[in-house]
Amino acid sequence: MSTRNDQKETSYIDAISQALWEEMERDPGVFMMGEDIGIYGGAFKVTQGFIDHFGPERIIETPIAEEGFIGMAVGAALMGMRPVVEVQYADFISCGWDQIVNTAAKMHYRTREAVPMVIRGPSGAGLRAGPFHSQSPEGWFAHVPGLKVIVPGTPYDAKGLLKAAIRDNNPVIYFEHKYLYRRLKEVLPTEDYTVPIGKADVQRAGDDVTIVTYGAMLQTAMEAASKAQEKGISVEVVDLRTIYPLDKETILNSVAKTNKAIMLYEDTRTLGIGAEVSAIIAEEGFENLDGPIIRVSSPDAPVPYSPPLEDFFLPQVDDVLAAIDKLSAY
Amino acid sequence: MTVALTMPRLGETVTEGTVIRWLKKEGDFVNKDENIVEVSTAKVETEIPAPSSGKVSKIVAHEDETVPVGAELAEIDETAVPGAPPAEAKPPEEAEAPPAPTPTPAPAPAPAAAPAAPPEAKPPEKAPEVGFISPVVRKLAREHDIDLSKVTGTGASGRITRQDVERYIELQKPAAPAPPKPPIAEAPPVSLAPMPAAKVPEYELPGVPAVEAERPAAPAPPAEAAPAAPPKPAPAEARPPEVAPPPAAPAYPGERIVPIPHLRREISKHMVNSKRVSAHVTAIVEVDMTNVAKQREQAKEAFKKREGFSLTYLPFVAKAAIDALLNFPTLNARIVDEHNMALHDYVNLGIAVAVEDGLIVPVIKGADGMSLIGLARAIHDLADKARSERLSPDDVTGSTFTITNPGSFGSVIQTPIINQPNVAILSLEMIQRRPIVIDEAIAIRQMVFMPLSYDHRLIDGAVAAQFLNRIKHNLETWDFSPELAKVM
Repeated sequence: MSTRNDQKETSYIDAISQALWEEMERDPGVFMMGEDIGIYGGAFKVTQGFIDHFGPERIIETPIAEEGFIGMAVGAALMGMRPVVEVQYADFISCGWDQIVNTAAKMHYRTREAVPMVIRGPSGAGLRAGPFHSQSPEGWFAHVPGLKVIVPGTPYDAKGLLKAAIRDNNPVIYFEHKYLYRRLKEVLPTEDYTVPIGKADVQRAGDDVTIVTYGAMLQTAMEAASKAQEKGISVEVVDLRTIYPLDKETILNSVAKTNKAIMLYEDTRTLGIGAEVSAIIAEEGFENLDGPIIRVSSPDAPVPYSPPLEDFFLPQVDDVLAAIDKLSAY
Repeated sequence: MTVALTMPRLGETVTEGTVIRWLKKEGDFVNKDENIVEVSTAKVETEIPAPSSGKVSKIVAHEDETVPVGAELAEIDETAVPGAPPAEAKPPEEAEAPPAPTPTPAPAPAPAAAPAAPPEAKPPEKAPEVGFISPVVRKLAREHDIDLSKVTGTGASGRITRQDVERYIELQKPAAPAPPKPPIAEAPPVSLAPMPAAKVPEYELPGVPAVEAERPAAPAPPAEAAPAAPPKPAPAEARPPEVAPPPAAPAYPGERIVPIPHLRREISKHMVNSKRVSAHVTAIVEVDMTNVAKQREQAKEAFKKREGFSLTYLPFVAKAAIDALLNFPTLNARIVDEHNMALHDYVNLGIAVAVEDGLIVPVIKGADGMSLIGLARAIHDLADKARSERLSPDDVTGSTFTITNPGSFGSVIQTPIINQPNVAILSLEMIQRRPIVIDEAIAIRQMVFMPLSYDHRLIDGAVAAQFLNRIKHNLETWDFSPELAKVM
């Protein structure tokens, strides 16, 4: 669909920076707020150099007061601006909970006023960062009508979905997996592009088992799929990309083909995204099932500090392979 | 691999258990830790979880059979998966017939005693077993009008997979005779290429029942053979002990013969055994409970409001008895064998609780570490569990001493039987206002008798009396107010 720059690979974090930069260049209504996003360039350096180029009126440094500045963003969005709020770690988004779920999410329903804003934050585990800096909060927000929730799994999607989120007229929660920031690189199109919100992507086609996943677990799924292929098991990998609204069609089409489904997600097990996808498959794809739906997830526990414990906590390739083996032998 | 399910040891003195009810039949699939059978012992009725997942391939101990601890109850085939058909067809009589009593050489007194001839009891032939059918296989079979009993399954334990059905469709195609006319004329033709499941056109066949519903319905299993008229009281010893003897006929007009409930039978065995094992003696003290009564009176309303249940005298007595037990270790002991006894550095306090059909003794573990309020809660909790049949084997084992409380039913003096393997049991009787002599005056006080039955093998009357007097002294002098202040 697009010509690609053959020379340079872009990392996941740079893809996000590019999306922000390009959208701010494109639309003067786009501006950013967050802690240390100006002179310091953001905790993860997503906005390095932004303040020099766009100035302090569009790169607004805030105090540590999430509820305050998320509320400000809601107000700005109501006035026609397109604020992008950076939450330093996705875990701290809970400090702005009320503004998100009760103000931003319900504004259009109550008043017909659009709230075009994006709240982005680094989520996910794997960096030995313990229980306050490793959570996967997407499930909290996917449960709130009025919000869109995105967790991209590749640099291409990270850029295209962030651009789409900024252009969307609804409040969008955008979680970027910090484990992928500098680990994942790919060549991106040179021209402007967006990725549609609410569309999943079949990252790998297969016939025997479907893995539905998103975020950093996409890499785990892909590795498990390659290993399964060595044993002659053909695995299809569906990357949800958008958590809400869910792309039921892609999920159900894949399960109709393979008849077997594994939900792979990094979030804790109970009432997670995998539970919802399982329910959709059971309700709408029941007659296509030739085996139980299996969830591979983190256990219902905080993310541990200890590296060996964190590895145990997170779903690993072998866990996915065990589920694949179980289903393919079923 | 086959795993044996065995009768667990549900208490240190328990040597055997009785199968009450199987929760799974032969051929059923059971998950690890899922309850599979209810058993009863002298101590408790409980459900036993399966040691591993698999199919119940054989039930060895049938309902009402009593087997020793460690004996095999059933076999579980771990290789089976849910919904799988039985690995091999079993002769029906093996699967269905009741446990055959060992034929008795004694002449049968009545024709009813002869073992029932199995052939009539044989269950009717069932439709061919196809095992678990997944939704997609069912859909494919319906859409292609396939008799799944003709499809060979290659999935786990022979389950029919989607691929098996597709292969079958392929094979059937060239020679396939026209299938029975479908009820709708425009039924889609079967395409020559195997259709991926996703592409199968959706269509409705209203009124066409699912595949398995077309099989002839299995007739209901024959009613159980009606019990023959009860014969004259049969000599019980002529029968194997596991099988309950038939009820005896009433000996007198107006007499009714009813079975003794299971728990009752267990208690009966236990009581007789205790009387046989221990050298019972009962000593009795009379305790002035006025001190406790006053303190309880002050606290009981606040306690009820805060804890949600009433503050009884029992925790006070327990507290006083625990102190005495720690000071008289032989009362808190167990006789191991002729040469040894076990002394305990802790008190696990058994509390006899009346339940429907009988009596059960849940145990407060580590009662010596508990406050008065803690004991009250623990007693309430265990009694509650006992009455709602929620006690686990752990709840009823390990006691080192027991208190029984017949006073709550109005008893003034009882001589209780020792709860084995304890060596003593204390009875709390009804507290009554009685005139007693204090110094040179007659006063009205809250009085109670506390009998202690003890095992004279280990304890002499002098020690028993000292032990009882320590309890008496505690109850008459202790100030419980610091503990009770916590709830006021």
